[in-house]
Amino acid sequence: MTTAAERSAAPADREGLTVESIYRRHAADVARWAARLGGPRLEVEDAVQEVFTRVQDHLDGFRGEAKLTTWLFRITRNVVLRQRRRDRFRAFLRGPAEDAARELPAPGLSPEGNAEQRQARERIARALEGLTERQRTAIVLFELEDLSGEEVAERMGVSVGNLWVLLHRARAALLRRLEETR
Amino acid sequence: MSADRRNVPLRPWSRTEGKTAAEAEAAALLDALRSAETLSDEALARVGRRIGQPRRHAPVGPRWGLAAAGLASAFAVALVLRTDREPLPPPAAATRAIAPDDRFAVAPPAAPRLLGGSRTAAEAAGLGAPEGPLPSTAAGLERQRIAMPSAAPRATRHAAAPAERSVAAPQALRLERPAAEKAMRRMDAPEALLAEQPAPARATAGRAIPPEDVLSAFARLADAGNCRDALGLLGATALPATGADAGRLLFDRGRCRLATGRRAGGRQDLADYLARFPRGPDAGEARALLR
Repeated sequence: MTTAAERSAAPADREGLTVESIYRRHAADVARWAARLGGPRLEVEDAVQEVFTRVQDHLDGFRGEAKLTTWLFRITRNVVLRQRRRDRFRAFLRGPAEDAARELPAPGLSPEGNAEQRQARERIARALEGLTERQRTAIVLFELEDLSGEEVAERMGVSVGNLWVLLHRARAALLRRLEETR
Repeated sequence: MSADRRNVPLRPWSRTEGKTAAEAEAAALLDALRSAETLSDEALARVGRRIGQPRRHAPVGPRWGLAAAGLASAFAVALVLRTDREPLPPPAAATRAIAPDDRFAVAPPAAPRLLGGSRTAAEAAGLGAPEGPLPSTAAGLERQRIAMPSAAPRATRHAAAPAERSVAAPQALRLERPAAEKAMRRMDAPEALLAEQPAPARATAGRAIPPEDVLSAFARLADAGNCRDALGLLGATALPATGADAGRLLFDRGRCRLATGRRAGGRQDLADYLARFPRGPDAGEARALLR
């Protein structure tokens, strides 16, 4: 039986890919995607750990048909979706006191700047929370990641024409949500 | 076509000229999100060391207990509901006790006449007829049993029957009613009747009636002509295939079924009786009923 360390060190068939090399190159990307897709409540560290654990488990099955970043993004999106569902249930179980504790300002930021940034991020995060998963993904990739329409369509597995329709609707929904939270 | 259905290419808000005020605000807010730091290098290094290990779990919160209790309650309710849907047990396993009332009044059995004579069996045995009012309750039946230990009707003319027919104990008779009600498909009646009974009667709920007691009480009621209650009590209780009372019980059930309009079952029972006991004491009556 191979250990996790041995498996992680074993090179994949394509281009000498190992979990370590992928992690070194893309861990920050995965963390950013996870944070943007999952919102402020997501445990980004846990999400990144789970993404690369899946990468380690399925690297041998990665056939290289999609770009590595596309494959990583799809894993990240699935992990975030799963974690968001789980966190919603856990948030209910933890109760309001611990929910409030999670909203405490992060250390290291000045109170003023922290408050302003927090308000802005909370507002946009709350508006994004009101979108569907597909709409949120489209907005994150197109508006925040600055990917082209073709790249976003590839990562989401939709046609470019469908992506524009999706983006139009996502933008309209986001503006409605922002108007509601004004 | 509404604007959100168009599939024309877009440009990110951050690079779009001539945005509306709302779009400009959305772009600014998205910029705030864009500038948010996600994980530091130290955090990424820490996560890298944890790859492949089990994820750390959030501490148990105060509502976990509530959730566990809720699950346990739901399981218990499901168990109860599932139990309620199970088929009714046969009367022998009836679990409620209800005190008898006048509906279970047993008509006095006609004193059997000895063949060719005018004396009753009790008189022949030197016992007087039971004194006092006719038994109309289980207690009355019990008194009658004590007064007439060997003068059970038809006992003297049934060759295979013992001299004395065992009589159901009062407790068994008290248990007759719910079983009879269930057998008669009046499912709501036992509940209402149970609620009407005094506490001591309800206190015996949960006991099962031995089948032999059910059969004894059935025979007693059938002899008394109370076929409806007799069959209700008997329910799905199987008759003994052998034994001293096998023939008599089979005949009684067939007779009572016919008397209560269950012709097919009654005729079947009488035909079975004749097939098994062609020379039995009730064979003549069985043939007459079948005709």
